[in-house]
Amino acid sequence: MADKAVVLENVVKRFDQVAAVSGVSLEIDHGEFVAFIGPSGCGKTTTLRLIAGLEEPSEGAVYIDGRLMNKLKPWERETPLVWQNFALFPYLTVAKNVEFGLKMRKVEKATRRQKVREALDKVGIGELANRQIAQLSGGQKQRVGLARALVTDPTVLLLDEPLGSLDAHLRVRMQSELRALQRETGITFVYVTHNQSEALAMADRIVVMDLGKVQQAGSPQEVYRTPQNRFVAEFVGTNNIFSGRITGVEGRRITVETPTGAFKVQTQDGIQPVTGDEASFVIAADRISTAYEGELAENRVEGRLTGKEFVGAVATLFLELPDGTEFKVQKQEHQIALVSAELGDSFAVSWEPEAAFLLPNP
Amino acid sequence: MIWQAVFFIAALVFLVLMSFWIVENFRLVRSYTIDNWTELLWSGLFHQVYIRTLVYALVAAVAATVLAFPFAYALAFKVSPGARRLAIMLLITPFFTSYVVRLYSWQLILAEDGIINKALAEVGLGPIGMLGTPFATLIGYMTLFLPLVTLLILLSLVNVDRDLVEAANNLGAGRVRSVFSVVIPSAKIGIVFAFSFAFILAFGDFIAPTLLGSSNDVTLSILLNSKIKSGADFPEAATVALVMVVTLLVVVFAAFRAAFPPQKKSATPQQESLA
Amino acid sequence: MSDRLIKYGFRLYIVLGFAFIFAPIVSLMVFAFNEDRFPSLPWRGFSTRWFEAVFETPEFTSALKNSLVVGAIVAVIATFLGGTAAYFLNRWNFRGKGVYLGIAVLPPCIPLVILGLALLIYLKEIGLSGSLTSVVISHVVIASAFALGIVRMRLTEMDPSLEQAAWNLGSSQWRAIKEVVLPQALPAIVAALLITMAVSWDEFIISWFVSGLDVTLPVAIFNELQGQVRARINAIGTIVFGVTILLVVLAQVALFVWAKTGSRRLAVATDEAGYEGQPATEV
Repeated sequence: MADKAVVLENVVKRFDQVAAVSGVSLEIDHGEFVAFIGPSGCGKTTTLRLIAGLEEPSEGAVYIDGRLMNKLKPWERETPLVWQNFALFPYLTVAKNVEFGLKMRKVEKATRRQKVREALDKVGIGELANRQIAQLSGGQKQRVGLARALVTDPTVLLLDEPLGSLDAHLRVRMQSELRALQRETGITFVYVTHNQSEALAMADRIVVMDLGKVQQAGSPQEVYRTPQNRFVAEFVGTNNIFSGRITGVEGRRITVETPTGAFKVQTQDGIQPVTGDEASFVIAADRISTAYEGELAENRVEGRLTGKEFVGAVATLFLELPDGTEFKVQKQEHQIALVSAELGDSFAVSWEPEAAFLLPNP
Repeated sequence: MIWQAVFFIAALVFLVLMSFWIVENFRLVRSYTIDNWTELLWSGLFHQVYIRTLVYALVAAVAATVLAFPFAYALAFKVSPGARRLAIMLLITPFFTSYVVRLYSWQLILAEDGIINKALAEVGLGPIGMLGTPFATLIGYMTLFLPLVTLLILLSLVNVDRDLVEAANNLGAGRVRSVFSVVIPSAKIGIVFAFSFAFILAFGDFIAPTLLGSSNDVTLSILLNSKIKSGADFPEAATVALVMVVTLLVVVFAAFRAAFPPQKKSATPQQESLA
Repeated sequence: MSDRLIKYGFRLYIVLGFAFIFAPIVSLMVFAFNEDRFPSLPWRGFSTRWFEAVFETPEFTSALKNSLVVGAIVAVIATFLGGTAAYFLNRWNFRGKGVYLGIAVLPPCIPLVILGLALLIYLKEIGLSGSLTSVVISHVVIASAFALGIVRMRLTEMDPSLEQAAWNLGSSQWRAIKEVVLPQALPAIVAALLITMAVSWDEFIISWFVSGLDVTLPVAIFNELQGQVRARINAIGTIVFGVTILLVVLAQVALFVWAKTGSRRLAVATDEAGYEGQPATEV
């Protein structure tokens, strides 16, 4: 167990009969960048606070570097937090804020001063050492918070939506800086965010949580392309989900009969689909081709265009299928020019069986 | 506000003027002289009384602030919001009750044959003389402003950012350490206010030393009172009053200055372009 | 474990603190009903004879009457002055506002002995001293600051657009005040009346300096304390406490219970968004 940075063993946390975290088990390696994502109230922040010791587990165990942490108070642990609203001490200068952790560990003054200087340089604000907190911008404050956490050379760094208070442009820049910092220092980052793209961009491993449980833990690719259950499929990325019954099996190609129609799905290795079983499959919105791009593939549906959404370089089209379900199609913005449909028009879309993914847990 | 102008400001102005007049043959003479001032400031007796009052008031203010802090801390952080509101109500109510009557009650409690000594006698301990001592006067001051001091500190404690306390804990500050490094600095203004009020009240009160202290321990306020009631020597009384006012202003100003020293300007004036 | 110990330790401290604060009040009330002349335990029996004795003592009964009358007059005047001042401060910004505010709240901050002396001298000069009138004047000086604070607090909670809506619909300024501001400020006005009366009722030092032959109750009590017979003082003290506590508790009820429910009804009636009266939640 000592070879893992953080281990959570069946951790449960209840507040007044309600379980915010209900049975989370997870192992985090040294040097890993792990991001927790999930909707509000899913328990990701509570899990982080359990690691930091700001909450005590109702059941289960928390290990850091192989040591059992359950009875240890926050100040007895070495799990510095970077806070969403910075939590900088307003009555102290930048340098005094950063040296706080060192002061608590009774590090002597000369060493403190040097380490503070190093930490400030590492995050790029060396010249702000003697400023008052009130004079700083949001981005600068965030860096101070980061320096304050890093200055004690921790093995595990906890980050609670640290970029949440920054504007979009700054956020993107900080993302790459954080990633580089993590790679450079080799510190284990445990990162909580509600922003999917942020997590997908930075993390080695993503942990998707809902209702206090881990829904799926895996690499960004895995979580994005091969969701393990309906929740993850709905939460991560832009997916369409169909549910029905398996009506035919030909080797690895199955037919699923759904209210919208019958579709062919190419299943992945290791799955034994049985005729008559219930099944759901996922078809990602960006794996759809439209009638306007040429020949249609094996699976096709026709729908009425009910909406268009542009988010920068990506555009999402919303179709209403005959049976009323909503169908999403995602294209690069420049490909949208091909789709010459107006709102209310009907057109066909299609996808290959290989592009669909059968959910292991419908 | 006209009322205030007519009665309040004018009264204060008069007070200043009065200190420069004298009483001759029990009649007020309105010549302007600084005799009152010189007489007073050079008097050894006055010095004694002054120092005593100052010391009593400082001790009382410090004691009240120190004792009230855990009280206010407990109410701010260790009880439910409902209990807190009840406690606030219980703190406000005695504030308005008659100070004189409460001190009289303390006379009864602290007396040789009062409750405390009676209880001690039950366990065989000798009676402790408490009345007529500075200790009793101190208790009197406490009765006067402990609720107020607690409320003022409580008010600023409640507004302390809890995240900061958690951040300090997260960085290694234990229970006690985080109180001193986060809670107290964040609540500084309330604490200084509380101290100042306590000092002002203790400095000016004459009832506690009269009812509970010994007749040898004369304070400035007792001096003031006696100059008025016996002889109606207003000019001298006014002089004493002004000395008191000046002292109060100096002490309060010093307290605020000590807590909020003027900040040094940042060494590097350049603006940071890195966002 | 030790966390719980600490929590109970703090709660014990709270209890001790309140015990100290309420000790003089409670013990006096206990002794007032004691049969025994001497105020100590053990209790000899329940009796109200001291209360009866009080009402037979002319010094006390006249002082009681004086205090009640002065208190009522002071309450009305101080609340009026403080309330109107609060209204002006709330509605309008004018030059010298800071100074105005400073002067308005200064009186309670000055040590009462000094204020008492100043008022005594001044009132003597203009020939108004030595009577209950001087007491009334002095009390108003102090009490109006309290009235101002209370009413101002309430006014800031109020929505200014309601008054403006009234003007917009054709009501004159006076009418708007009467119809819109007063009803909403009523809990605070009542509280101010109660508190200013309490302030006057218990005020000793300035009354001690400024009054002449007719005295208020606290002064009468103090005079009595120089004397010998003491048992009656327990009773009179209890009466004094009782009145104050009643006034202050009612004032708090007015401010915190009446005010909240009243404005919720008003908000619903005027179709506004939900009223925010939530206290800070415990972390």
